[in-house]
Amino acid sequence: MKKQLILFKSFFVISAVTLGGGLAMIPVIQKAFTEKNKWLSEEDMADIIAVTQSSPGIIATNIAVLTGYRVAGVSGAFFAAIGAVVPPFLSIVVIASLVQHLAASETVNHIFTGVRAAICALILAAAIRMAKKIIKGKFEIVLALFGFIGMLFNMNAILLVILSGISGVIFTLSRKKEEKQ
Amino acid sequence: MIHLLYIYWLFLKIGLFTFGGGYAMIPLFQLELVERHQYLTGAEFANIVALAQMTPGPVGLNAATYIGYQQGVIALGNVLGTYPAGILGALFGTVGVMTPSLTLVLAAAVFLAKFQENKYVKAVLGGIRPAMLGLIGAAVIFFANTSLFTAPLQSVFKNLSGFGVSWQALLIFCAVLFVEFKYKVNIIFVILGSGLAAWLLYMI
Repeated sequence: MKKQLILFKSFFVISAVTLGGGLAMIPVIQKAFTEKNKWLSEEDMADIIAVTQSSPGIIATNIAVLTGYRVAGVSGAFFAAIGAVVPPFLSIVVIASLVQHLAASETVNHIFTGVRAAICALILAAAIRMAKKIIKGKFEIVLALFGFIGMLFNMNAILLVILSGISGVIFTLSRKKEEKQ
Repeated sequence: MIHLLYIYWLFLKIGLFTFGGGYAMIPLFQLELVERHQYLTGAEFANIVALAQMTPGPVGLNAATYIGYQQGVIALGNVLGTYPAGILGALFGTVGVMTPSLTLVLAAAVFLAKFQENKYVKAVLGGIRPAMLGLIGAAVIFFANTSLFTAPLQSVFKNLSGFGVSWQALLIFCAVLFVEFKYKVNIIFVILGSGLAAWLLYMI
């Protein structure tokens, strides 16, 4: 039980102090579990990062589940995930209950227009950085256009993801055939 | 109660079909919650994303908690009272978006030691990643509609005169883009600075 409690506590603290979440957690986890406690090897850590990036869902809880599982099995995974979720949950519940009381004044509206412009720029910057990593040829460009246009015309998002996954398989298989010939 | 179960199911779906976390979740929230179900407006959603960036925890999780709270109040606020109903709704949203981590990812960890090296997993992701990129690119336009443009960009096609740009927002947009690529500034300072700048610019 001791390991589970340490997992809960570690992920609680890591989640509370890393703003923005996700991959920002990795160096902190590395320090806590490979250097301090020596519960994970560097290889374990590399595996966890690789699996996280090919799994659905929230990166932070995925990292918690995988780390917790390697350290203390299924119960470890649950304790780590709950630890990671509690601080953001509490902070958002407090904010959500306060926002209901905030009167929408002209000034507040102006401030949030500026904040939304900033978010817009931040997402564009993230998309550009992603494009540099992901786009390797015509296939990726076509699929990115497919996603872009599908989203603009409010296509069913789930269907869009499924179709792009299927085309990924078809593309990979047909390329392998070409290589063989 | 049925509404809350539906909220759980909605967030479960979003969690299940997002790969790459964080920003990849934003367009799915947009399509499901803003466009399809109209639980909130585009501007409200953009505000939530901004708040989610400034609080601990990942954006997707924070948005699920926040929207779950809101929907809980709408569905059960009269029966349970505002706060208990909100907290219950927040729980349904949060657990929904976490469910894939606690089931699929855990199962992958238990049964497939080398899950990420599976050639089919690789092929599927090879298709999903670029499509996600396109979705995120389109989300930029939706967010621009809530700040940069005084009328949605799409309306240009219908009515040329109805189109306008907020120069204050455009200025902040360009400044943030410049800062993002030129310097590494903490995102909290970027957002707080933009709010402050907007407050000052709109006073001119």
